[in-house]
Amino acid sequence: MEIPTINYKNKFQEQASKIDNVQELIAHSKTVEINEYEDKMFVLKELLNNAVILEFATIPIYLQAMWTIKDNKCEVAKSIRNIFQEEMLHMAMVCNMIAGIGGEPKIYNTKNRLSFPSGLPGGVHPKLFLYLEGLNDCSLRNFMEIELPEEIADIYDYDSGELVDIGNISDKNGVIPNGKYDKDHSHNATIGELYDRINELFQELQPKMNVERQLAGPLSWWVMADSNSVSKAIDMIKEQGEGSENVTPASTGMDNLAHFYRFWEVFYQKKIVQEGDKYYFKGANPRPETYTIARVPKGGYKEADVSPEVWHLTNSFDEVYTELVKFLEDAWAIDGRGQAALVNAVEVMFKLEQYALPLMKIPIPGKSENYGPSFRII
Amino acid sequence: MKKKYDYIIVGAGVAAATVARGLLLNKQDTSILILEAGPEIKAKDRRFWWDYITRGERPYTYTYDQKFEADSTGNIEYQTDGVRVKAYGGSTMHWGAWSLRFKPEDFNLHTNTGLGADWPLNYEDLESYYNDAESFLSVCGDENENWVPRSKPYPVPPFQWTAADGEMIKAWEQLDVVYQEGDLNPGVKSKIKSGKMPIARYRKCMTTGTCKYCPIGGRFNAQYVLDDLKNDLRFINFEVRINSPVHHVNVSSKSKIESVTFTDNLTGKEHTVAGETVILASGAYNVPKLLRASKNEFWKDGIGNDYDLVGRFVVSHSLLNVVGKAKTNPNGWFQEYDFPTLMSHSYNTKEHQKKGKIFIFKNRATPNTDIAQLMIDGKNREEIDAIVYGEMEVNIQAFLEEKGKFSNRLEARPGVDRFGLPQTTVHFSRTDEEMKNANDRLQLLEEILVKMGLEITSSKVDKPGGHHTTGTARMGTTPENSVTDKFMRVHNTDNLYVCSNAAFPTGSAVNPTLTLTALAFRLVENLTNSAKTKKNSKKNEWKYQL
Amino acid sequence: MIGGSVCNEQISASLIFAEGQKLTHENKEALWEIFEAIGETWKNTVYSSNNQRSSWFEMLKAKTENAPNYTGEYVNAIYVLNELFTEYGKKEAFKKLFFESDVDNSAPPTTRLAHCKVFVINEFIRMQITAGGFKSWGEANGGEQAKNYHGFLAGTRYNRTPRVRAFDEDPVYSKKENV
Repeated sequence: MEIPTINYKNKFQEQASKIDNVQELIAHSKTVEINEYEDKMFVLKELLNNAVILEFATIPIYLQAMWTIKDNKCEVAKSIRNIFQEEMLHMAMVCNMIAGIGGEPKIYNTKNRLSFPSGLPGGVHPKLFLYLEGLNDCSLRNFMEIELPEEIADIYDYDSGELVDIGNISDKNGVIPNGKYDKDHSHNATIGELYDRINELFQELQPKMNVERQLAGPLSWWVMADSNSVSKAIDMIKEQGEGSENVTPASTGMDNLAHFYRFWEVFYQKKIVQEGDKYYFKGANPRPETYTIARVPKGGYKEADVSPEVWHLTNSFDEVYTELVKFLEDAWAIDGRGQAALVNAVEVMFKLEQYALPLMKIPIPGKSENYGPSFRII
Repeated sequence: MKKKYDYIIVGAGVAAATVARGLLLNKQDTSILILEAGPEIKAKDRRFWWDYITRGERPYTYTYDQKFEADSTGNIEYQTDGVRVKAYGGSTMHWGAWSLRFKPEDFNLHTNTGLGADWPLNYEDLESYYNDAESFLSVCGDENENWVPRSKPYPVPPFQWTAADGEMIKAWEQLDVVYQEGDLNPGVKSKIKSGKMPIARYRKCMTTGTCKYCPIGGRFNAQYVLDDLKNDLRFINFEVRINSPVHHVNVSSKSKIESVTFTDNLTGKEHTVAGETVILASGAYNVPKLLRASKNEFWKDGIGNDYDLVGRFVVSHSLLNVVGKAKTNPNGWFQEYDFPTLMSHSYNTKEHQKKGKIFIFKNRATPNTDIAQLMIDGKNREEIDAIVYGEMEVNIQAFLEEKGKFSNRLEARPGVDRFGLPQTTVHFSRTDEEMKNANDRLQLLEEILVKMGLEITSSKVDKPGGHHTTGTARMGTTPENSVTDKFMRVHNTDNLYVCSNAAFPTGSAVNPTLTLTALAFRLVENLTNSAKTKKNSKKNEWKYQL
Repeated sequence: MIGGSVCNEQISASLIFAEGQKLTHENKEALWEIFEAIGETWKNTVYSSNNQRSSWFEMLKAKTENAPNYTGEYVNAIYVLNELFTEYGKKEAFKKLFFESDVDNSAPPTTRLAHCKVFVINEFIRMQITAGGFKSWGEANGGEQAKNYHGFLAGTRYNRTPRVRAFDEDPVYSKKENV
């Protein structure tokens, strides 16, 4: 049987579709060939695909971190829940952008099926590995690393007067090394840079946006009717994620700190305040009590290795998670169910807790840690 | 279908779902057959939901008793049409899910007032099961309230009061709780206390306000529980049959229930299936009719009916309705939630019990403007604004507790409904004194609206709606005074239970479902003997009125 | 009486039979124009109707891909409007349809015009209001903008901002977080 080959219009496009690495893709997008408009639209779609995969990749790790917090009404839980909601919003906005230019978002990389432990998709950060390990120093520092802004604001510890350094991410064994933040070990392209390039291309190309398959509702605030709304969306995504030089809500006019700074508050266990024109870590922000879950092993927990009760929970979780992913993709698919699929996705998101929460309370035999959901796409 | 099951449960509503789930979690291979007379109506269907939004239609209303399928005699009309859903999931298909505990005094009505009957158990006996029920139904309530003693907080936080609720809250803060003639005045002054209505909503509620057909399953519906049980691969002996009305419960001796006979409505074929234990969970309307229809050589007048008590003592809630209007609605408030958020138990107390307790709440549907209807009627923007910001109506309502009487009875009448179940007739009368008391209570509500600066435009006691029917197979101590014992088992039987509002000896002033669910949890413990400590506070002399 | 021979043609009051039929892309575009006209006429959209489009489109799909199929009614509405456009011009046509149709909204519709009003216009209006049109009210006298309405999927209440115009229980400590 003849395997059909995809015919690309030209070399530029063929190369663009093969590049896995975001940094390279951004660079490639800046090399221009003859069919400018079409080539740029093509690479714009590729960049957007990378953006949506990046947005979705953070969802499982934020969710499971939030679920390990015992009191789901405490400040930290509320804060992380809000961050998760904003990430969903960002993802929805990017899906709208993709649908607006005629594409169909694929929210996870079908090659690795978003299995954990995982690097950040697109090779955005070669040293960062995300584990499903609940809320702890490692994961919090990883979350900060994901949302890292290009310029970190200067924040001083109020008590010691010293400038607070964010330190480095943990090694493979979950140990955070001593020493100051080493920028070379960080991103080769931040998520911010990716969005900047996407915005640049939209403004340059001013494509006619098709609103037909875009969605606006509780998860997705507005449709991308034109490149203006795209710009507005990208500004919001960046401000909510990495923030800007003005850190506190009072100065940004937002009603909350950017995700990077909120994670830092939880990590450093102090709240950020502004006094005069300086920012300080002042006032205790204690780490809430959590269920200690073990790092979920590569490939997740297998049926043969766990009790029937645990298997029932973890397998049911994976089934519901797979449903969620299918609904989200169906929502923006050509000939998909649109808004109806999004409503289903919203409902199913809550169903995950039904299995995740009991699972996290079960200790692993012979260990001091508990189980956690594997987030497997079946 | 097997020939014999460990348990046969008649009815597929909240009681059946709670009991089945409890039995299966206790022992996964328990064989259970649920027989539901009605059909399965799809929940969360998009087309049904859009038809509800655009046309106000709901897909389950056809299962209601129609007006011509029920009547009432007596000096008050007792409404049966439209009150219950006969389908898989039962009345949880259409309920508002207001989930309140009975108060301690509700279990001792006769001791406290000389009227009605006591329960053969106390609030303390049910308290831990109320916790289970609230967790199961996912009741959202205020952990700072203290209307009743409780050992665990609500599982989910409450819904916030709306801005429109605020006006009534402020009025209550200025009004003393009144004790009318016939009440017991405790001598202490207190203001009317605002509370947040506890409602059964899962955390995924998206405040859509179309609760009667929730698009995402935010409101508890027994269907969801039953679906989960059916889909759970561990529960291999769990079956549900719909379109299967049960017409007869069969015995092998006076005390041993052997089987039930039902009709498969789709084929017309009759089946008899045996059960070790039979649980009637088909509601306060069906249970008494089924018991009385189950005549045999041991039970001449129907099972449990040797003393002619089945169907008697029927009560529901009457609604007190007072409407007031204000000249303007400057904030342009309209309906947002589809459930009330503001309520008070200040008139639902022991002191008010004899004259008549009332449970007050602000009708969530006021103030309101149907903006879409105005547009449909061809009003332009200016005209609509004038109406939205113009005259405002506020409706305060209260459930009135009715006390069971021997002479009030629910029974079958000739004829069947579309599912083959017998039609209903309800004999229901109120005494003159009760009529007067009900009207007196209206004054309490009027006072509130007057305090809000509103002009009263209507004030009346509505006829009782059968939505909260209880009492028709009441619990008690002996067959001479009741139909079921304190574990809801039919007297003189070994293995027939009534898990239904029918078993309640009193109706209190609040919705029955949370209490039913608590009783269902208690029944499961009793059936599986897995009670950690059998709570049994002393009831020396069970008091009742016949 | 508005419109001509198409609008005033007498037809049965029941839903126009349309099982097995589908809307074309052009049909949908024409129906979208009708929907947009509602927001424009009553001036109750923020920016444009675009943010309601996905909800509206979902309703259209639900109504035409399930029984009873509304395709016949939707196509009828397009014909009715085409005649009105020809007679009065677009802007005036919508005005006449919304405000001067003389259709009894609660009676069985027996003309093509009445069908258009009852099954399409009135239902679009209900949908428009619930999907966000209601937000245009609340602020006229300095009050809070409306946040929720019967049928509006406001979103989870585990959010920073309340999903309804809420009573501020603690005006002194007004910065209270919402659960």
